[in-house]
Amino acid sequence: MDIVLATVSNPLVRGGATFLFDWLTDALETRGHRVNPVVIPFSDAPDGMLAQLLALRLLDLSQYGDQLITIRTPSHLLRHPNKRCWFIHHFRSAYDLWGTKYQTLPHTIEGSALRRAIVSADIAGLQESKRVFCNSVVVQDRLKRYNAIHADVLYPPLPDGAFPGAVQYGDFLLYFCRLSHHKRQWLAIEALRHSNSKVRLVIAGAPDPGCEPYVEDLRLEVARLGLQDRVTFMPYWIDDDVKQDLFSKCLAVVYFPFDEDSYGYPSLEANSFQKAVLTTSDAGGTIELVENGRNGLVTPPDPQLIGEAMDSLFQKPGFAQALGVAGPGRIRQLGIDWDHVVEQLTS
Amino acid sequence: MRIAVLRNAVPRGRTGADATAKTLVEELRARGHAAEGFGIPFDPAPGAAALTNVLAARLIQVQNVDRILCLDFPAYCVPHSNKLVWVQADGEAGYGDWRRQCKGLPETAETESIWRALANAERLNLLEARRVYVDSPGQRGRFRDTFDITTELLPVPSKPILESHHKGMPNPAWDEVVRILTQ
Repeated sequence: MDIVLATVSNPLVRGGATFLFDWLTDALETRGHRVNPVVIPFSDAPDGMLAQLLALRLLDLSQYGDQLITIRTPSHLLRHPNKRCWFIHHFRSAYDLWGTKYQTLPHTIEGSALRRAIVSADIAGLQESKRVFCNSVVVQDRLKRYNAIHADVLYPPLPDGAFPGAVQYGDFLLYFCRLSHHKRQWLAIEALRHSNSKVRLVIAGAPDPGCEPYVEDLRLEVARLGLQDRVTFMPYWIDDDVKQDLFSKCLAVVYFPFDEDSYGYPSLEANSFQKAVLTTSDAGGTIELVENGRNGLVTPPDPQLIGEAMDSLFQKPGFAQALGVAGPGRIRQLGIDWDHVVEQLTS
Repeated sequence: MRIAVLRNAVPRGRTGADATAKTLVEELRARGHAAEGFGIPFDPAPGAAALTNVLAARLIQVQNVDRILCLDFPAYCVPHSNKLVWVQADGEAGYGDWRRQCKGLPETAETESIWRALANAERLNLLEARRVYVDSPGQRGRFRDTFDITTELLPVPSKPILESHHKGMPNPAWDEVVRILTQ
C-alpha cells in the first residue's frame, strides 16, 4: 500500500513522537508498504498557533498515498479521505494541564479562546478519521473525556532489533529522559536524600528548549543536599552506544513523570533490558506497563517512600534483578510489537 | 549553527530535492551543525490548489533554529528572519511540474490570475530571503528575467562519495556548499 505518514515536529527537539515516526516508517517499509514520510515544522508557542492550525487544515494530502497515518498533534488536521490517527498526546496545556503550574497557554481571555479553538480543531480532525488509535489508556480516557472520541489503544514498541545482549546489575539507578520539570528528576533527587543506602543516581538526557535553568536548579539542589558524590549529571544528548551501556549496567531505572501520556520509552527500554522500573502512582501511562512487585515498583509520589524503595532495590540481594527479568514477559503480555501495530494501522 | 532544511513534499514519491536535502542535512551535521530536514506539502495538480499550498506554507512557523535553508517553491514561502534559498532544478520538486501541467490548460482569466498570484508570491518570498542561490545557469536566467532578482550559482556537488568515506564524516565535495550556506 502507498502510505503517507505525516507528523509535525519542533525543529531539533527529539522525543517519543519523533522516534515513533522513524520506527513506524521502518516497520511499514519492512512489511512491504511504500511510505511517503512528511514531517512539517510546527511550534508549540501560543503565538501563531491558530495560523499553524489553519496551515495544516489547508493541506489536502489525498494524492499523496492510498492512506494517511498521522502521529503528533495536530497533524490530524491534515485532510485525506482515508485517514488514520495514531494519537500520541494532546497539546496538554489546553487540556489536562490547563489550570496547573505546567500550563503554557496564557491564563487570559485570549488564552481561553485559543484553548477552545484547539479543542474544536482536534475534534474536527479526529472525527473525520476512519480510525483513531492512541498510545495508552490514559490518552484513551482523555480523548473520550475532552473530545468525545473513541480510540483503540495501540502500544508503541521499540524498534526491531533494539534488544540488548548481556546485562549487569550495577550500583546506580538510572533516570534517562529529557530534562523537563514535569518529568520530575527533582523528585528522584529529593528521594535520594531519604535513602539510607549508598545507591547512586545517574540523571541523563538533554534539556528541553528553555529548560536550561531547570538543569541548574537540579545541580544546586544536589549541592544543597550534599549529594554530589551520589548523583551524576549527563545533561546532553546521549549517543546510542552510551545509552545502551547505561541501561545494561544500571541496577534499575527510575521514572517519575507527572501524569505521563503513555508508559514512556524509558520504562519500555528498561524492561527490554531486563531492568526494573521504579515509578510513582501518579505517573499516568507508566503504570499501565509497570505492575508493582512484578516488573518494577510503584510508590506514592512521596520522597520518603521512594527513598525506601530505592533502598530495597539496592539492599535486597537479587530483588532488582528478579523484577527486571520479568520485564520482557510483561511487554509480550501487552502485545507490544510492530506486527500488531502495522496490522492495526493498515487493516 | 541550528538549521532547518525545508523542501517540498510531493505526492507518491521522493524527488531529487529530497535526496539533496537529505545529503545536505547529513553534511551539515558532519560539520558540527544541528540540522533537521522538513517537508512542506505541495501538490502539483494543475489549478488553484497551488495557491492554497502557498498560503499554508506562509502560515507555517519555524522556531528553535538560527536559520532556515529552503530548496524550492513554495517551501521558501515559510517565514523566518534568517532565510536562505537554494533553489533546486525545476521539475524535480513539484512546482516545475505544476507549471508544465498548467501550460497545457486553456488560457482563461482564472488561470492567468493564478499564474500572476503565484509569481507575485514567489518574488515576494525571494526578496525576503537574505541570499538566493540556484543550482544551474538556466535558473539564474529565469530569476533575473522573471523577477529581476540576482542570484548566485551554487551547483549541487556531483562528486561520488569515496569508498573510504565513512557515514557521519564530512564529504569534502560538500565543503564549499556548507561553508557558503552557513556563513
